[in-house]
Amino acid sequence: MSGGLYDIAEPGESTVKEVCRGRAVGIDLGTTNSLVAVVRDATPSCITDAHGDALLPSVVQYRKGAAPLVGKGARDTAAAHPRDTLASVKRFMGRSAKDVLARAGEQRYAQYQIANADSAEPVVRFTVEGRQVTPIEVSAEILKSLRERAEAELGGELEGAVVTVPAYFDDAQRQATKDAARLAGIEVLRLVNEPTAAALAYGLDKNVNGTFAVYDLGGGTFDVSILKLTDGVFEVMATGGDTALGGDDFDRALAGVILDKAPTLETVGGNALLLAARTLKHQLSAAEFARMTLEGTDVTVTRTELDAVIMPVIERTGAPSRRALRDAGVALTALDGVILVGGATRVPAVRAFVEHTFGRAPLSDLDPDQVVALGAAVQADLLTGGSVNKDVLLLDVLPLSLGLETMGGVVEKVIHRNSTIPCRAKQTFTTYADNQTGFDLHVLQGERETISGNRSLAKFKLTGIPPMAAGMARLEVTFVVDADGLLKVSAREETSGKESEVAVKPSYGLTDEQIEQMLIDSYEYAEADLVDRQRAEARVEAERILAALEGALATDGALLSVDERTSIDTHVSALRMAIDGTEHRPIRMAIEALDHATKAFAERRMNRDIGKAIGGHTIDEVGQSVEHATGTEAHERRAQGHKEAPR
Amino acid sequence: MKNSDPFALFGLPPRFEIDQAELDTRYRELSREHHPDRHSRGSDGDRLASVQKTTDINAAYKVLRDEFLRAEVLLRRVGIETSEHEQQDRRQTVDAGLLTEIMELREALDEARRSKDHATVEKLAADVNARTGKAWDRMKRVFGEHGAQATEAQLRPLAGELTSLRYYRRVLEEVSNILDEDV
Repeated sequence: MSGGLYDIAEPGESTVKEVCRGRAVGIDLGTTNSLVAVVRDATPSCITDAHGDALLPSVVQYRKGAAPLVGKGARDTAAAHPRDTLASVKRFMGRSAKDVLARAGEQRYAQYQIANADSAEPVVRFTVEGRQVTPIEVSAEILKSLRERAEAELGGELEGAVVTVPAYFDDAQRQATKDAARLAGIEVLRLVNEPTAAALAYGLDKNVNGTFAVYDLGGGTFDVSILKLTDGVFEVMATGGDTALGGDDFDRALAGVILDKAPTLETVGGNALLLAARTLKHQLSAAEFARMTLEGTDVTVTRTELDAVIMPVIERTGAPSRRALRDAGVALTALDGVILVGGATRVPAVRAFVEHTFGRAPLSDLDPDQVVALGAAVQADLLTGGSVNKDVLLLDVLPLSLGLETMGGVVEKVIHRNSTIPCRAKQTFTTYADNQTGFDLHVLQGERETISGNRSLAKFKLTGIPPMAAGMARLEVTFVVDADGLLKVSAREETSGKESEVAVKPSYGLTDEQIEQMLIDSYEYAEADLVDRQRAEARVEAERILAALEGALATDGALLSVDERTSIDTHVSALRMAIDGTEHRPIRMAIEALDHATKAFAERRMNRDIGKAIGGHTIDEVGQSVEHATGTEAHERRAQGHKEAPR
Repeated sequence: MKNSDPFALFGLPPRFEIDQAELDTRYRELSREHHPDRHSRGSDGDRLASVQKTTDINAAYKVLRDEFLRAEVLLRRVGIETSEHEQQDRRQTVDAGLLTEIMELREALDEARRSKDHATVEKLAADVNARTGKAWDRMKRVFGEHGAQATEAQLRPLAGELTSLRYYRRVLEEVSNILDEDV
């Protein structure tokens, strides 16, 4: 892809790579399990290991003087090597040590030894068996194991792979996933969102048009997407979810039931209890009651009891589901089907809930554990000149909004979530201060309106702008998102032509808790955010008007009578008081009142200036103060994104 | 997208009234032809071109689907700049009559909000909705009368209509905020 000087082909020589059919695979790199699938004879299927297992536990054990052990072997011996066995590293992709430490209180991560706890390095490193590894390297071991499995099966080197990522993965997490594949010697043909892959797996054999929901309940995360399928083109219309909701919560709830029935089992420990709960849960997917013996104690649980304790968890999937439908502008009646993904969707109560929520029985022809990998295999086949269905095309979206920090600690969205990728957007800023020679740009991702609620992706600086009066230098910032959902940002000062570009790399971390916040934000925090934002904007607006008025009064105060001047001063004081308040409405009202009070003054200045010279900047200033004073202008400006310079 | 014409890119006549189904079909056809997934085996140059083209297609689709953006583009074709950004740059002042109208609406709305007078809020909303509907009707009529050969002079009155519509939209947003907070 580099396209550099050295890649230029000799005349007549093709730059197209040799086609090697059937060796492009789909990989589902999961938190708990990973899978690899391939399309053969127009049908996708998972590649199994020597024991016939399709699932590879996403667990890596580092050993002295030997290659790392990956999968079932590592998982089953984890208890004996707790510090050298790493599981669930997907949760740490694109994260710093600080982020991981922030959740170190959690028991299940307590055994990990963080090597760079005190450093500001962007990527966390764990100490295992005398060496240090990053989550990217650990994921690479899993991917390498899948690659070897596929190469053994397909008899030759892989051409490349489509790797799936959760829809909620941000830029840093996607980059980290791509890096892991590269480290494993796999060329990434495309990163695809997991729910999209699932839909692709289903869409093939059914030559249908319609709108589908993908309901993905995994071990620890919930994802919901709405997709439209028209003549083979898949359009993702909206995505949503909850990153701290999944089948693990069912196990915990059921463990509580077991303890209620047999309090003596408290001594067996959390992990054994959770394992027992999981076994019972699996049995209850097929039977009305399940029984097991633990430490000599018989425990029987009925499906009714299971349903009762997990219902509150299941119900939490309702709001994100309805929101995704709303975002997509799709009425329940317009939905043509619901696709189930994730092992937790095997639970009958989940299926009943889905049926109730979406008003129809879900599709469940495909194994919910395999469906994502199968879809990834289909996409890999399509990208390599596929055999299955040449008319299928996937149009994916950006899952989280991208924005810039602006005045007053507010985030200005440059590209909104659910925009179809690849896409591009530009935003223009002007300088705030006279002789300002640099711009600080802060790129963020997320849905919150304030900086602290979003993930910080990158900070960079554009310097060397010639000194100019405030508002004269114009900075054009361009965001480009490619087909993998990865961002590149460039900035250009228009008058001087000064340019700067950054590829956004994993630099800052965010805990899962923070992501969770980012995803549920629009529900719980939208109101608080709006209040903060409105206040911040009203303040900026007020300060600007006060500054402009002060200047006008200094030069043209003589145009006013004593009474008029007193009235203006009173309103200025009122506005200054309002600025210190916690609400934006009084500020807006004080701005409007001040506008009324200065109307005659503004007109007098304008009339005089028109007499003097047409088009002079004084007209602008007066016109500006009139506009600002309406209070609606700030909204206008916000919608267009024409802002003063970010601080 | 400033320099490329979304209508031309989609091969559609530059008209305000648009057939949504035709637009969607055209979008899928263009995507099928130019999407990077369709060029994954091409040369570096081919792949880069396909990404750029698809980016343009996505941007044009966004404009053509949105009646505000569509009207903006049609006015820009005859040299009338109505985007908020450009207006801001030129410090164009908004019609005083409109400002008074909006200010009065906002005052009435604020008053109703303070006294928790839901009936009035909804009455105001209905009023603004009616004004919005009439303004769009006038837009459609003028755009329809002159078609693709419209001149700057013929379309000039629409610049004001579009600004009014933007202000009405803000007022309606404010209304839904008020109704949300009182639920």
